[in-house]
Amino acid sequence: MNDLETYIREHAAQFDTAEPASGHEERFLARVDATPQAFHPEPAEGSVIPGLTRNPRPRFFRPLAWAFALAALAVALVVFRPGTSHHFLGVPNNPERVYRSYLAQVEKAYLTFPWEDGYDWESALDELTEESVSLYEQLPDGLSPRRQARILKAYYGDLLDGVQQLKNR
Amino acid sequence: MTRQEITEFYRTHHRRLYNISLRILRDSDEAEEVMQDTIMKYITSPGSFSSSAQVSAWLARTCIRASIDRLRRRHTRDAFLEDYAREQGLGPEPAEGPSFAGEPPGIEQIRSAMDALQEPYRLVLNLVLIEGLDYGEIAALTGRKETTLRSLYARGRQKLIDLLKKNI
Repeated sequence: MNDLETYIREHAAQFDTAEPASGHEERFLARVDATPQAFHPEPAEGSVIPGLTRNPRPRFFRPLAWAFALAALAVALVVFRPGTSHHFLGVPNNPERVYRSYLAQVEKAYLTFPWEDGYDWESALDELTEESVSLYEQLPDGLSPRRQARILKAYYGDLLDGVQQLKNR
Repeated sequence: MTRQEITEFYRTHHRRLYNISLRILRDSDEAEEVMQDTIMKYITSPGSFSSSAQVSAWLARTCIRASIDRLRRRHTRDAFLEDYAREQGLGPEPAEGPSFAGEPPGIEQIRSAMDALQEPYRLVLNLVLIEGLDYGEIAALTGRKETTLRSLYARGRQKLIDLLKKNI
């Protein structure tokens, strides 16, 4: 890895500057209007994160995903000591940076799982990594940022260990 | 999702997806179509995500896959990546690529230089450097060997640096 590669990686978002031809949004909405299944009933208030849920699936009907995710997490907890996660090497003790790093690693996991092998990876990953309210948002303000970051590294490190176990399944 | 939520969702994600597809296909109309197909697929499919990172990852992966599928269809009679590599007699990846001394060039310069690369190099460099995929992921998406991709990447990187040095 040389300086140029590092520079491009760090500025990847700045390459996203092109815009589609004018009228693209209208063309898209015309497609939406012609597709009745694009619209779904409103979910009950507070039941989902707005904008993230399409048709929520009944989660309790996925016992295999549950069992596997819990087993993977248990193994991860035994193997790795809390607070020493290798997933956040080089990430400073800044709560937001830790949380962003976690999200990026979850995103990467979704990109790398072998989706074609017939196993319901999406459900397993959901079960393992989803948080109705993130720990990042729940930590009390009274804790120092450094302390918060260490807690987040330990917690999210365990979840990422579980993801790794899933991947090695 | 309501129409308003769909509109907001589109405004949040369209630019990134359009740029992902445009970098692969280099055709504005096709890139818009793939971007809109991707968002339509999301809003009409069952399933749920619990974080925006998961949504973003799903969208990016779907968009990359659709773009590569189009690219492959476009080149059904041409060699794609591995065949190209074989034709060019590409060997193993060099141990260490050339480095770029001094201040890095600007984003526009890099973009222009990448655009000037031949398709297989440009595709692999884009997927590795900008989309952040590793060789295993790209191999899964393209159906090509990792060794071929590494060779293409190493040579594409060298060509990119040569182009940038020439233009500075």
